[in-house]
Amino acid sequence: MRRYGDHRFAGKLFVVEGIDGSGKSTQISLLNQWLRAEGYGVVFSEWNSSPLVHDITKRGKKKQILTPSTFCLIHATDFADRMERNIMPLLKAGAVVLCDRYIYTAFARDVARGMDPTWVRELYSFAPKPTVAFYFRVPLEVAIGRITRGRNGFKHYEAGLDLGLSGDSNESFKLFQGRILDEYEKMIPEFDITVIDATLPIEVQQDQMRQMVTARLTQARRLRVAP
Amino acid sequence: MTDREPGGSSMGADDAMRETYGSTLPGMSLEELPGKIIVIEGTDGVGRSTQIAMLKPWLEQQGHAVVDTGMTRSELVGRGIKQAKEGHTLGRITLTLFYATDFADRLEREIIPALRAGFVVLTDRYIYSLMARALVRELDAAWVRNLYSFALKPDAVFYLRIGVEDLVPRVVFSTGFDYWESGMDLHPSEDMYESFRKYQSQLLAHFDKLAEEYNFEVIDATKDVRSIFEELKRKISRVVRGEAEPLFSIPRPKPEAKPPKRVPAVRSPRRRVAWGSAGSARGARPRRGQLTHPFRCLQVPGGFQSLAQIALADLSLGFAQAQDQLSYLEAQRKVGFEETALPDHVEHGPAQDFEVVPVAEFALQIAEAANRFRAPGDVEFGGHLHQVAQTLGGDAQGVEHARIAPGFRRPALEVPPKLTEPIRETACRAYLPGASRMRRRGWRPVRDSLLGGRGDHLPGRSRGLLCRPLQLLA
Repeated sequence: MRRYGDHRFAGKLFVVEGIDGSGKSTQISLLNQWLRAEGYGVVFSEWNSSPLVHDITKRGKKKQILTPSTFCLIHATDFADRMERNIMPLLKAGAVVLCDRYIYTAFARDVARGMDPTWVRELYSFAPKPTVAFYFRVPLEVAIGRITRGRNGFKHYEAGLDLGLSGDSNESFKLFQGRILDEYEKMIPEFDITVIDATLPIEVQQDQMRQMVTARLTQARRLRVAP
Repeated sequence: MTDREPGGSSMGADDAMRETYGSTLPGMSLEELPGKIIVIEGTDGVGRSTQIAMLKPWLEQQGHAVVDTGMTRSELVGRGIKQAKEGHTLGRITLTLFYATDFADRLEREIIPALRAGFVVLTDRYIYSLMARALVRELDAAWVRNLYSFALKPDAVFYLRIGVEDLVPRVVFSTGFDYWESGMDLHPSEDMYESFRKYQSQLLAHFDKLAEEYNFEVIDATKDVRSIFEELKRKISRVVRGEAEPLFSIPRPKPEAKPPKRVPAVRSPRRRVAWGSAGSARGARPRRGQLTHPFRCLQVPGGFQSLAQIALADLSLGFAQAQDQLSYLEAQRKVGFEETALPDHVEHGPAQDFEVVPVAEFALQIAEAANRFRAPGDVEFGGHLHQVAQTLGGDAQGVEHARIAPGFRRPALEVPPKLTEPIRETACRAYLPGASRMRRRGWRPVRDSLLGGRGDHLPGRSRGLLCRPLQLLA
C-alpha cells in the first residue's frame, strides 16, 4: 500500500477545498469545461458520491445514527471506493482528475468533530498527494450570506448539530463552520495548499487557477487527447 | 481524542479503567465499563458461531446478562456490506474501511452501552479477524493498526485454531467455498479450492502472528464441539469472575494419550523402589521397600515450599499405593503419613470410585488454580501451585494418568465461587486444618515429617496442611 506522497502517476490530480459557500464547486466546474475544451482526458469526482456507499451515508444521516467516528469512517469508505475503482486507475492511465473536496475536507470536518488529527491523517494516508490543492479562503459571514440565500435551515450533520454546540441550527452551523475554517487554516502550511482569495470576482479566481494548472500540465502535454 | 489528550487511553493506573489500543473516540468514556468483552476469534468455518450459540445460554444460566455481536451486524452498514460484497467489486481498502465502519458503529452503539450496563459482550470475531483480512490483502500493517487503535482491549480472546487441512472438509460439507472467504479477489486466476487453500493458509499465518502479539488464548479447534465448549466454559468463568490474565503460564495440553477404559486393578509386581532426590529428604523415613515417586526433583526456591511438597508427598503416597498394592492406610504408614479415621470409601473403596485423568490435564487444572492467587502475598502461593503444575505436566516421566478420588478436583482446586474475603484467607481456610468441613470431604493433614524432617523450614501456616488422596498410575 503506497502512502501519501509516494505515488508517482502519469496523470494529474487537482482538488478544490473550502467551506460551503466558498465558491469552489463553481470554480472547478469552470476548470473542468475549460480542460475538456483543451482536449484533456478529464475525470471529475465529487465528495461522498460512491454508488456503493452513498446510500448508507444518506440513511445514516437521515436516521441520525452517525457518530463522529462512524461519520468519519463512512466518508473514508466512500473516498476509498472512489479512489480504488476510479481515481487511481485513471491517474495511472494519465488522466486529469478533478476532485470537488478531498482528504482535507475530512481532516477539517472530522477533527472539528473531535476525532484525533493524527489518526484521521493516518486513515487517509492511502490517498495520493494532489498535484495542486486549491483552498478557497472566504470569511465565514460571506460564505453564510451566499448559502443561506434561498434555503431555509441546515441539515443535521451539515450544521454540526450532532455536536450539541447549540440548539439553534443557524447558530450551530456558524460555530461548526468556524471550527472547520480554523482547521483549514492550520492545514495550509502542513500540506502546502494553494490559497485562492474567494472574495475576488469569479473570473479572476478562475484565471489564477488556470495559470497554476497550465504550469503543471505543460510537462504533461502527452496527456492530450483529441477533442 | 475528545480533549486531544496525547495517548488518551492507557495512562490510568486505575485498574477499573478500560484501555484501547492507542486512541479514543470523541465522547468515549473509558470509565465505568464494568462489563466484560469476550472475543471468540478464528478463521471461517472453525465453529465460532456454534460455540457462541452454546455459550450464550450457558452464561445466562449463570446469571450474566449477555449481548452477542459479530461482524456486519451493525445497523449502519451491516446490510450495505453484504450488498457491496454481492457485486464482487470492492477494493481492498474500501472493504477494510467498510468493516471498520461496521465495527465502530457496533462498538459505540452496542458494545460500550452494554459494557456500561454490566453485560457480558460475547463477540463473534473482533478487530483481529478484520486486521488479518486486511493484512492478507497486503495493506500497510501500521495503517491497519492505526485504523483499529480505537478498539477497546477485550477481557479475553479465545482463538479457535485449526489447520487448513482440517478446515477444508468442514467448509466443503457446510457452506461450500465462498467468494470472499476464498480470497477470490486476490487470486482470481485459480479455482475456488486452490484459492481457498492459499488464502486461508495466509490468513492463518497472520492470525498466528496476531495471536502472539495480542496474547490470544489458543484453543485447539480440531477437538470435538463438546470438549471445546467445556474448555471455553472453564476459561470464561474465570474471566467473568474477574480473574485477569494468567500470571503464570498455563502449560499447553500435550496430545492426549487415550485413558484406559476401565480403571485396572493395580496389580503391578512388587518392586524395589527408592526415594528420589526430592527436596531435602533428610528426615524422611524410608522403610522396607523404598519409595520412588516419579518426580525426581522438584526445585522450589525460597522457604515457601509447603504446597509443592505436599502435592509431591501426596503423589508419593499414591505412587506407593499403586506400586505396592497397599491400601491407602498402609501406604500412609509406609511414607510416614500418620492419620486416623479415614473415610471408608477412600480407604477401602473399589477402584471404580477413582476417576482417571490424564496427568497433563490435571496439571493444567493446577496451573489454572495457580493463577487465582494474584494478590500481593498470594502470588508466591500461586507460584507454588504453578511449580506443582509444571512438575506434573513437564516432568512426569512415564506417568500418564492419575487416579483421583471422587470429588478431588473441584473442592481442591477451585476457590469457592462466593468469594467474599480476600483470596488469601479463603486459601488458608481451604488448606488449613481444623476445617472439619474439609475433613469430611476427605482432606487430610500432611505431616511435615513426610518430606522435610521436622518441618522447621515450612512457614507456620502450612504446617499440618490438608491434602487429598491422589493416585498415580504408572
